[in-house]
Amino acid sequence: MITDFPEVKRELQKAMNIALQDGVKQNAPMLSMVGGKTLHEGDSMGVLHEDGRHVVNPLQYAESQFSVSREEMMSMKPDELMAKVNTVAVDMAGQMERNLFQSLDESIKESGNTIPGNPELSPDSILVALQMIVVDFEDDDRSKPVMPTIVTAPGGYEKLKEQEDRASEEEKKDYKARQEAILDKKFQEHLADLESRKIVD
Amino acid sequence: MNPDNIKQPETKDPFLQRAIEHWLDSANELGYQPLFCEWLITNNYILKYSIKNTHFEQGKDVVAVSADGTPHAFQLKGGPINLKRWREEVKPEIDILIGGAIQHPDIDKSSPHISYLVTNGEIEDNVRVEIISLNEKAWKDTPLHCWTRGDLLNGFQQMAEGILPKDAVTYKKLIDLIFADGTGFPDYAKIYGFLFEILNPRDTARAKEQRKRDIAAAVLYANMIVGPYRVTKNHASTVRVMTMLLSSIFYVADKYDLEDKYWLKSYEIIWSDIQSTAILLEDEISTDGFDASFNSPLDTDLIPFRKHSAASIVYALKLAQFIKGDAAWKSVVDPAVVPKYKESILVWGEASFVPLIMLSLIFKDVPGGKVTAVSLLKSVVTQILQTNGRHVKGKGALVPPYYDIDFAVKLSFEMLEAEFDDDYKYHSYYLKSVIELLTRLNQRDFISEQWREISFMRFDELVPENPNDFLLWRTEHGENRTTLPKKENSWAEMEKEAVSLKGESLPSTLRRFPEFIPFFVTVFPFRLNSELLGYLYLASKK
Repeated sequence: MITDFPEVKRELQKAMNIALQDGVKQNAPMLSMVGGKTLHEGDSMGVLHEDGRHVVNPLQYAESQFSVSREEMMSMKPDELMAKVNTVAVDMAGQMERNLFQSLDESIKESGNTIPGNPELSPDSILVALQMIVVDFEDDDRSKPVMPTIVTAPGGYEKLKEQEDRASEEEKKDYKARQEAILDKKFQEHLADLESRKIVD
Repeated sequence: MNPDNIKQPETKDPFLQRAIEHWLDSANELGYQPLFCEWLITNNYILKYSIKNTHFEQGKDVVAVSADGTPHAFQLKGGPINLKRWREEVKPEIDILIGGAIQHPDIDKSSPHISYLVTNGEIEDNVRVEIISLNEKAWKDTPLHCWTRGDLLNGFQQMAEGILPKDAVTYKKLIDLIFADGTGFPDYAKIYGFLFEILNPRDTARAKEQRKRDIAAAVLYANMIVGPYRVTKNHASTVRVMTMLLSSIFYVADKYDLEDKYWLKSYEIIWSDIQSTAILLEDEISTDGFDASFNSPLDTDLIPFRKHSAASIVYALKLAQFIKGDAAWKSVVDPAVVPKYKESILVWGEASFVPLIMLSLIFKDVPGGKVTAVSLLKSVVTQILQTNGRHVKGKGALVPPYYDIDFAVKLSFEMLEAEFDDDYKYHSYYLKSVIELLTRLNQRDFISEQWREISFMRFDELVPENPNDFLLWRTEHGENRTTLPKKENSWAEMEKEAVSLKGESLPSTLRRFPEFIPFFVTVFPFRLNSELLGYLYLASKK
């Protein structure tokens, strides 16, 4: 063989792996919001709920590949290689996000936590959703609600923004008041939840 | 080693011979003593005792009885023996070896024993001439036998006969391990992987006799691997490697239901080695203190980590002694010793709580010590909640027990090769079992005060598909289980659950030898769970 540069290649491989990981994070916004943990062994994940339900799921895998022909390899520029890596990242991110949404969808349906009538995304439907979920308050402080993140279908955010822009000042004020009223209620629920966390005989 | 009843080995593998030579030439007598004992039992001797580093050996480091019932006593030396050393150091001990009766309840004091001088060096010609002369005159009735470097080499190589690394890649692994930097930490994954290959647990058709030979070979290779650590007197790392060896042997013994005759003597040798090496570390700290080891300006930021790593082995030893009823555990309450360990525990991850938990298991039963035990456990709970609890801003930074102190040092010095972006907020591997321990100690008030925050946490653990896999460094099959605590919990139920934890799911070897568990959990901190801690609680209860 022609003498190689294995050390340099290892470093390049490392850089490529980092780029792949970053690419997956950028293209999987939902997943990147969830705190990541490394699994060191085992082949499944389970949750033992407080009511005794035990749900076990096998680990799911995401994989993708790219190929480079010998001819391409001879003239390939670093940017072109990174573009291929990014294609893999997008593909893997898509698989992971789809899996995540599928699991979420199943859990939501199971818990019955869906908005009746499946309305379009709008400020009103957001308030309906807000009423249905648990809201956390940082430092147990009413002024610091931890507001949920909205994940929309493509174009969903733009439509929402349009509705918001069209709203009059009075409508906005009214909306804010309704939201605050819900948060007041949620804070009371939060305090009640805290009170319920205790040791009894 | 060539008594008549021992088969002579065939030298088949020059590489292995060179590797054993390298290890043997760098070892002192304490370094090769465990393997020498293992060699004796593989040749059907019954080992009676093996003493290290005491003044009570009466010239006899090792005593064993051969198959025909004859007692044999061995004085072990390291390095060459010239005339000066012979006359000043060795001969006085040989006089006692030959002249003094063996002190052991199973051996008749009046029955003569065969005496051996064993060294991994050579005996110079003029010394040999003097020994021959003494054997013909003063020692005529009980002549001295000599085993030197070549005999040990042949004997040790015999132990690996047929159980050699299978390919060049495995040879390379062995070479890397036996040439490791003995001043640092062992590469756990590589060592366990290598010993696992030697023990062949995946070969389900292996005969039990062959498993016995596998175990002897694993002891040989582990001693070679631990060579660099023994040479540098890195006792903590030596203990860690031998703990891995014993865990892997336990795994095979449990998986294949091996009767005692196939592995128990090996256990005794390795266990004795672990204890005596840990005692050497304790002695070093007692004599010189920690500070004698710190002699470079580069040490400054590493001192707390180095102290922690050493103290964790000593505290494992103390709990083992406590479980066995050995009064030596009392040094943890000795006012002359306690200050030496000041600031020796550092919080760097969940695994760093292991020494505190071990101390609490001792103190809980010491008169007046329960307050200390409870205080240590409370500090563990508080640290976990402060670092990974719901009020943490940003990520939960207390890493799970899969991450060792070496990782923690690299993380703190920003020297990790790969980006570490994990978030452990709301998660803990130890919180559940520590709360159960506090429940056993009737700490309802504290738990009630903390329950609001505790109830937001998620308790993590790995539940192996096969209970014996608990002894593995990593298992492929198992559930990464997260348990969600009840918001409102009943104290009566908590008490009931805590007392039900008796270690019933633990591998039978661990249950049989609870004194080994403190070392096991120091090296395998990710195995500390409710069952294990519950069992340790019961095993350490007075």
